[in-house]
This record gives sequence, C-alpha cells and structure tokens, in this order.
Amino acid sequence: MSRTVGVGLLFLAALVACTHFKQSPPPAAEPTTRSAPDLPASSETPRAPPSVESPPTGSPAAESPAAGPPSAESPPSPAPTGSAAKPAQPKTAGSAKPKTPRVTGAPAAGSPAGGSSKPLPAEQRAAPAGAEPATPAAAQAATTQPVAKPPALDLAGLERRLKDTHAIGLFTKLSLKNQVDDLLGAFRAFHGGQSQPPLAELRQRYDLLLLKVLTLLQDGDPPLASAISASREAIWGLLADRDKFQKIQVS
Amino acid sequence: MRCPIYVLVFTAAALLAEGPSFGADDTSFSNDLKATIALQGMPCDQIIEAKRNGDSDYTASCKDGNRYHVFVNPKGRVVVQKL
Repeated sequence: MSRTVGVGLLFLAALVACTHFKQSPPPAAEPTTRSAPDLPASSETPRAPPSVESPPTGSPAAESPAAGPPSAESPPSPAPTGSAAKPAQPKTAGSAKPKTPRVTGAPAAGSPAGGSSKPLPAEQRAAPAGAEPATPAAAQAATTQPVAKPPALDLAGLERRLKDTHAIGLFTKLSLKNQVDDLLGAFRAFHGGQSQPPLAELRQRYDLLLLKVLTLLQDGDPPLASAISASREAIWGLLADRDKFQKIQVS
Repeated sequence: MRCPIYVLVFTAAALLAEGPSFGADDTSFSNDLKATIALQGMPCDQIIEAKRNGDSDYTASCKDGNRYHVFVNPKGRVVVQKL
C-alpha cells in the first residue's frame, strides 16, 4: 500500500509540476499582451497588438483634430490629420516604436474607416509605402511606352514579316497586296487632289483591309497580328498625312 | 504464313504518319484558296475540290455548291470568277 501511495504521490507531484509549468508561460505571455496596451513593456511583442490598438489611437487622434473648431477644412484634411497624428506620438511616447506606425496608418485610414476595421491600418501601413514607389514606377513605364512606340512602327520590318509568314498562303498574299496597292492608289489620288474620296471613306477601307489581314494572321502568326494591330494608328498617321505619305512613296 | 504483328504495326504507323503531311498541304492550300475567295467578298464555306488548270490557275469547288475560277491575270492581280 505504501508503494502505491508513494507512486500516487509522485504522480500527483508530477501532475502539479506539469500544470504549474504549463501555467507559468501563459502568465508570461499575458503580461506582455497586457503590458502592450498599458505602456512600456517590451517593444518586440507588442508589434502584433499595435495593429489592434491602432484604430482606437487613430480615431482619437483623428477625432481630436476633428473636434477642433476648424475641422471643416475638408480637402487638406489628410494633411492636418497626419500632422495632428504625429504630435499624437509624443503624447503616447511611452509606447514609442509600435505607435509610430500606428500613427502613420491612422491618418490614412483615417477617421472614416474608424475603429471597426482593425486590420485596415496594418494594411495601410504597407500600402502607402508600396503605393508611393509604385506610382512613380507606373509613371516611368507610361513615359517609356510612348518612347517605345515609335520604333514599333517599322514598316519595312512589318512588310518583311508579312512576306515571310506562313500563316497566309501565296494566293492570299498576292490578293492582299493587290488590295493594299489599290488603297495606296486611293490615298495617292486623295493627296494629289485628282479625286476626292472623303478621308472617312479611306479610313473605312483602311480599317477593313487591316481587319482582313488581322483575321488571316491571328491564328497562324499572333505576334505579327499583334504587331500590326499595335501600329494601326501609326500607319494611319503616315497615310493620312500628305508629307509623310509622300516620304513613304519616295522611299 | 503468320505475319508478325510488329510489321503490321510499323506499316500502320508509317501510313498514319505519312497521311497527315499530305492532308496538311491540302488543307493549307484549300485554306489559301478559301481565304482568297473570301477576300474578294465571295462565299465559300469549305473547299472540297481544287483542280489545277495551270500556273496560278485553279478551279475551286465549295461545299455549298459554289464554284470559282481563281487565277492571276497578266497584271499580277488575283481574280476570282464565279462559275
């Protein structure tokens, strides 16, 4: 009996030790979570909580400027809120680092989002940082694209590719060439003033011919089809302008 | 007298491999003629027969019953005449 009692005591002691060991870490974790809202605590652990807390801090910060009499200044509102939010940091200076991002997120999320959506500030923290460089990149791409378009109009290259493509048969190529020559003749007459088909009619014929070419190419040679389609307006610009058209004729 | 099965298999494979090449040529030329006819604004759903009359001179029969004379005239223009 004594053995069983001894074993039972040992088992009980082990259980208590285990339960005590299990409980000990949670208290350590709990204080951190508690400490975060409170104030000083550790600066590392609160990183998660700050996102949770940020809305409340943001909303008061937004409210505080809004509470001010000149709150009505609507357009500049983001700037004032941001400026107001930055001063709000020193107020909570005790929590320091975690709250600085809160404040940056708070003005953007701002007053309208409110505290209801807590994850929003966290997203907005990343969003402004990513969005700001993205817009210049997009702007650069937009600026580079127009520069790249002029070289895309390589008439000789397109002509060579059309001749070399296997997507169109010989009869069809010859037939297309006939129609292209007819259209060029019409443009020549238009610019020469011999006959005056309206430019709209020429545009219609041009579109129809291009449509035929694209229809023939779209299955057999998609890259060439897309290249021709991309330079559609540029080619029309050459055809419609008398000087450019004459240069083409000369060359 | 028993014919080895692998001989039959290789023969069938050779025939099958040979067939599509001719068919592809026919198909591509039929498509060329069909596109040429369509470019002239004439109807032809499918070419079922193309008879060669001479250099760049063909008579095409379409599945819908239309027949066309497709040729290149001395000026170098492709002409499609309905027969």
